Amino acid sequence: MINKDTNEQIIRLKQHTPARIGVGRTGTRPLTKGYLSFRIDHAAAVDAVFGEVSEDLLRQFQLFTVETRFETKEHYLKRPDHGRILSEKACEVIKERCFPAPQVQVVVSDGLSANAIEENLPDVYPALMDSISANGLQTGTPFFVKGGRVGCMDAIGELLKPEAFVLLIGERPGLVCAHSLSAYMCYRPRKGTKESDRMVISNIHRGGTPPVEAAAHIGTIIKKMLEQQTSGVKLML
Amino acid sequence: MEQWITSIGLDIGTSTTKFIVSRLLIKQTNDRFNLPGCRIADRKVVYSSPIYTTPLKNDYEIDMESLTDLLVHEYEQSAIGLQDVNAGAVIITGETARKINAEKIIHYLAERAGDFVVATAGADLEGILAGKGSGAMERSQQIEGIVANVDIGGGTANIALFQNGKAIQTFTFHIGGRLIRLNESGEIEYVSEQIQPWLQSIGCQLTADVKAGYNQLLEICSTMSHCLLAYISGNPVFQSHLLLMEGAPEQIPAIEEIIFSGGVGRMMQHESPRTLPEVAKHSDIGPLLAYTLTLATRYYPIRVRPAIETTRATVIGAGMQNIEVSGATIYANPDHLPIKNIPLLTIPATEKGEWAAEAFEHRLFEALYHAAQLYDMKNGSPLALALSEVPYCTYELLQSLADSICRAYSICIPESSHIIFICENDMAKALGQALAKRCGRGKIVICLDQIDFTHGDYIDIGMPVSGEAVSISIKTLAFA
Repeated sequence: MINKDTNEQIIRLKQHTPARIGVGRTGTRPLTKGYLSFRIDHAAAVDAVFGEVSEDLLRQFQLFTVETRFETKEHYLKRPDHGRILSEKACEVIKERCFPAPQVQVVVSDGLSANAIEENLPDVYPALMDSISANGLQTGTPFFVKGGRVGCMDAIGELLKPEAFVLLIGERPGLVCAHSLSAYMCYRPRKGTKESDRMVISNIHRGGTPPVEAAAHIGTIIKKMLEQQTSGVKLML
Repeated sequence: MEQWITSIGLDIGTSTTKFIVSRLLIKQTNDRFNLPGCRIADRKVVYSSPIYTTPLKNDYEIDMESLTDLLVHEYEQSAIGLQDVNAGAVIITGETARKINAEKIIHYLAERAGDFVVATAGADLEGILAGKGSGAMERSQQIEGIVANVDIGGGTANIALFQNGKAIQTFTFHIGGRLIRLNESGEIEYVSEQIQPWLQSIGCQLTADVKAGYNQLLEICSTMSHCLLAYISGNPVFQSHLLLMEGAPEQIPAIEEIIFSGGVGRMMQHESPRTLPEVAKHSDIGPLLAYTLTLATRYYPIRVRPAIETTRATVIGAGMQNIEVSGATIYANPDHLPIKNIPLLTIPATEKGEWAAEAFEHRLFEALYHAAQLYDMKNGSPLALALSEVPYCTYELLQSLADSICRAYSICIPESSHIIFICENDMAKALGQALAKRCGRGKIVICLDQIDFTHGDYIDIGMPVSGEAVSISIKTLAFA
């Protein structure tokens, strides 16, 4: 029998991963403490998916909201394809309010974790805007998409015809972290864009890829996209 | 994406001079889902010179002409051209590190050793480089405990303690093979002034021109060895403080393993000298000191581990380990590189983990005023600030940092042409953009990250080696 609290090897291994290793057991069952922390993390993941991004936060960054055809969160989970198409109303609002054919279009979406937006937007969003302008580039009119999937950038691309696109979207939550953000980037996303043309910086959160540094780097990537007029696997970084 | 770069190392010591050529493999660790990164994936020695006796004009001064011949010959032997050398370091140690020599050597190297070769000196850096070359640093990553590297050459014993692959402490003893020189019949030719107070404190009268017996020398060397080892194991004996150089730590942490390098370190593997002629093989006490050290280690609870390199540990450390690469998301325009010999000042961003903009600005003002007095900033020579103890960097903190920095620079040193910041956390590009936005007009902003700047007070920033990442080396220039 190895004691998880005193065994040096277990202690050392645990320092290298946030995964649930060396959590101990009593008989054939986990310890109450470990079981409760599992339930808490699971609940946090569920909350992240079913949570909502607060109006206050969106107002703070002057983002208006449009919806995809996701209807409800339950439906959103069953039909990922509906998260890639915009509602009729969304199309109208976007056409009405957004600057057409911008150099860089920035869009924020809750995706599978509203918490990711809540936690990271205050650091990523302003740093991203700084980084885009530091590279001498112009942004269009940014907005928020409720119930979006990564592919919704193609639908928006059809409407606004931007040169480059940045989508900040909440990642599928795990049991270690429920507030991780991804930044997807694409050169001229349109209907039928291949996945290999998209690029991503993932795992953006306090304990992963540093939010402000990720944002600072996105400007460099966008600049290269515009110079080389391509993105994804073909882009030389 | 990977790339090999060539780095040279040259160690000009009190008694010997060595030269090596090494190749460093720089690999990108970008998986296209994360921020790019790169690291030095492999280091290998491709050429190493014989061990030369350092050419001296007199007891203290280097014979530059002979050194020049030696280097020209070695460059030819190693079949590398000056244009192939991307990096490297010359380390000048012991008595040869005197100002008059060091300046000559630097001047010489500026013309002939390659653009990116840096010159360094100083006992603490020498100790760290030796520990890197002997394998002590790497070993400290493999075991839980602290590894001490003891590099004993002609004039000094440089000790560096390593933990988890980082140097945590350095100190130096006046213990070395050439501090006492003698001939085969035991006639003493020279006793270093540095050890006289200690010799007297242990009741030993030893001066040049007297004759010493085997047993007397054995006792001196044995006492010296115990001084060293007892101090390292935390229980000093025999007036060891008289042999210590200034700046030694009060408290020594518990040490798990010890590695001996340097010329005396190498002789510890040799047969023990039994007679005076055997002792005086190199006309000094080196062999005897090595023997007594081996004997003394048995009395202390520290494991002795053989070194990967002994005599060449420092030169290998200088050539192979002195170069590091920065993070791959940084803020620097290659047109403004390389920049060499930039003084480096460390300033903590927080105090006891607490961020306070006013307190930070206050520290910044003090540091910059201090720097303006220390270094000649008028002619636009750059200064680098290292940010330590940076907490999790939010956007708000970043703005606050950049505001303070720009204000402090414009008030304290408005004439400075560069704003250079170094940090450990991955945040250089964001900080650089924030600084450039505020005060980039007319000033060159450079921010580098993922650099351990704990040991050293000067930095050289090289050219990009892979993507944006640049090669850097942190060093000390004791004679500057």
